[in-house]
Amino acid sequence: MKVSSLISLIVLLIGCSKVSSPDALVSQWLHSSEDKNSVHRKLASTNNRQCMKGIFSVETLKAEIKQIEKPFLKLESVEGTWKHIDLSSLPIPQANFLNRYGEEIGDLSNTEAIDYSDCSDLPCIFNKIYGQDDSVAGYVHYLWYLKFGHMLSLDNHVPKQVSKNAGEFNNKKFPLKSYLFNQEELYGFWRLTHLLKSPHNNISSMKQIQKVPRGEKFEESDFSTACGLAHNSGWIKLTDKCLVFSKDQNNGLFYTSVMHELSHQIDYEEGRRLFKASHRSQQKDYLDISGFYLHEYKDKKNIIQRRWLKRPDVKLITPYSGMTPQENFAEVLSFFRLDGEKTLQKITLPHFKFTSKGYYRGKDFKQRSLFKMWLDQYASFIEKRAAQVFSECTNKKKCQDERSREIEQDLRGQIMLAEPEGCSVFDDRPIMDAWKNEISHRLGLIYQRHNTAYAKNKMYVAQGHFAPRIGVDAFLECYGEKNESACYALAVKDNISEEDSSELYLSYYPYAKVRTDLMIAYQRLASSRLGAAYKSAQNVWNNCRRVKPDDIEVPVGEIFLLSEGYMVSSLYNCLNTQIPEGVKSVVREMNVKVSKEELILTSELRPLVVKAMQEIYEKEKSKEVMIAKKMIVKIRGQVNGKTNCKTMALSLFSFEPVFHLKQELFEEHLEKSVCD
Amino acid sequence: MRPFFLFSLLILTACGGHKHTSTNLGTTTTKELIQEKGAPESEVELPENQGTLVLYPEDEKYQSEDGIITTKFRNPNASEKILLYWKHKFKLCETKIKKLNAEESELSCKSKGQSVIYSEGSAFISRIVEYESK
Repeated sequence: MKVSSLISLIVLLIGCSKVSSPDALVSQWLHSSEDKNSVHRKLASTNNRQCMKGIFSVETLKAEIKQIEKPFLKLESVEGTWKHIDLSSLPIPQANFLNRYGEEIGDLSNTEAIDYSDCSDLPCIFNKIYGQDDSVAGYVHYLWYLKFGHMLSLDNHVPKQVSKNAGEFNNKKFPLKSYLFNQEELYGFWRLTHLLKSPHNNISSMKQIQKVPRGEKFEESDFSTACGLAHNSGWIKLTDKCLVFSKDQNNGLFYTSVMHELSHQIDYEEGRRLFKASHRSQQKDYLDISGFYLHEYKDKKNIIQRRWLKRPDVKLITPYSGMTPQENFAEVLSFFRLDGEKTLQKITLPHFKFTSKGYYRGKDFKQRSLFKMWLDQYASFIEKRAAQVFSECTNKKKCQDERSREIEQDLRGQIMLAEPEGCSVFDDRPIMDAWKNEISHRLGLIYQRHNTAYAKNKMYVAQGHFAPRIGVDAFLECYGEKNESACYALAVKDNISEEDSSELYLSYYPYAKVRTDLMIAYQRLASSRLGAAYKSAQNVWNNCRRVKPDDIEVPVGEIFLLSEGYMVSSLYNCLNTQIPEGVKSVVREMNVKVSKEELILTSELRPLVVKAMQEIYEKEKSKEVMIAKKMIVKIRGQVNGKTNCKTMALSLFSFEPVFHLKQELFEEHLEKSVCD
Repeated sequence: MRPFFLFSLLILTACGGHKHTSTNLGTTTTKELIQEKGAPESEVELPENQGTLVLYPEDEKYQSEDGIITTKFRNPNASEKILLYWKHKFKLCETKIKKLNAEESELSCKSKGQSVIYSEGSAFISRIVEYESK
């Protein structure tokens, strides 16, 4: 088929659809995005029969980054500076990173130790920290941020470390490089950027993944034998013991460990968001499905004993998953993605189905069904190429067979480069045969459909492209409805006049795929407004701080939350009341015309505003300690040396803290300086 | 008297979210508890003569020692879930924080006869423990 006729048909199809709703922001975003498989399509054409490991290079990483950055380029740039760099000259995600994490990278014991002066972009800054020029390190760290929204750390301060000084750990000093990742680990993280999708790539409370100095154990005595730790406040830390690979670097403890710790974060986040609880895994339905129950009582010494016990019929994915429901949840979620077959054998069928439906959109990740998942994922490529083949080979079977083989080979090449399990799956002979049969079957169905249409109308021109906008509008129409998937199918049928075409459209843009792609787009759209989210948080904070603080009312509200420290209830309640309006103001600035988009963007932006608010709280809390320290010195002369120094000091100290309980503030920060 | 009693019972049921009892920890006997709340789901004997656990739906547990109910374990209701609520409630108490295991701690206020269990880093509590106030 000639290109001109194809284009006219696309135009015709778009023209014939009943779409007339206002422009969704996400449509504009998708319009300026490239097809997400295009990088690997290009690479596959020049890297015949290679696997992911073979293309792990600066060139590949740059291409992947460019593709993600592209739709950000049309949006308003970020104002401000970082050292010598004008942030408005950077792509939005790079500027956002420096605004958010700019003070937390490099050698934090000496922030002038690294010379960044010849850098004009983020990967260069990262590579300076590694002491390397144009290396994969800088690009992997940036790609991780782009895809996951948090920092793969490159500094010498470990969360909750004992020493106040960066570069000191376990009472020893370490050079910055011992906190950084090696080449093998960087490859592992890059591979994970391809392996992990929702829910692992959308954990809004995550802040950073940090490595402790090479060769060291955790400082916490409770966890001295552990190799990874995930904290409810959004950090993960890893020791070397977790970062072990198989010989080919495609397997090993590294993958299960990182995924295990990320899965803990999902457990925390879902617990918080859906159940207003510390863990999703401790909710009754999960306990029932995983086989745990809590045994608790007060012992003779009046100490509360709490132990998780297992039912006799419990089935465990690993012995470690038998420790607690939270370890069980993290083990199952990580093993499920890495080895669906083994997971199915080891856990109960209801538990397997629960995980598949709840966390992996119904997928099972069995080695022998992975290729079917890829065929769905690459459906648009297959459709386009098949339409082309039909047009060029109409009724010539030999031509069609030859060109079908080409499609199969091209697609296989792309999958081997873009999908972490691609090469191992295609190395398996029986799976390879099944793949060839399946793709041939699917192509046969496509040709048959075109043939039927051609038989009816000799003017029929096969086409392989649909306007994504139909799917976007259908998705938005059905967002939040009781059965989103069924509603989506109906909405698509309603917007495409011909029955055959709507079926084709649904195979091309199935609901699950559209939802995944659009939610990533919304997540990125929201992230482009990070600066506005911080401003809004600051405005809400300032408004609430203008009100005279008191601690009379009961604290209520679960948007802004405190896990540590204190806040007087008047401020806490004010923040929780005003945050929704603050989030709305950010959404309003985006000129949203479709009401459902407003809903989605509100839910994506809210965690960003809350995260910003938490940072403001931490800073203000530290300031309060400094003020209190200065004030307490004035009463030292009256109380020091007295037997009841503490009681006297507390009664004389007239300071009324907002972010601490007075007694806690005194005991933790002031007592030593007045009662020595 | 009778309509008034019925009215207060309704208020108690409506406000609580779980069934309130007149259990006095430290004096109510197991027999009285069962008379009031009905038959438990199960009873579990604790090792080393540490008493018995009487289990009710919604994960409500009573521990009895020598036939007297001493401790109650229950889930928080909607308004009791945030840790800050308890810090605010206990602010005039002499509170203690005790680490129970690697992840969990107990914040207690003996004068109110209440403790809450929470995980480090979480803004929500997971359990309320009630006992005789001292």
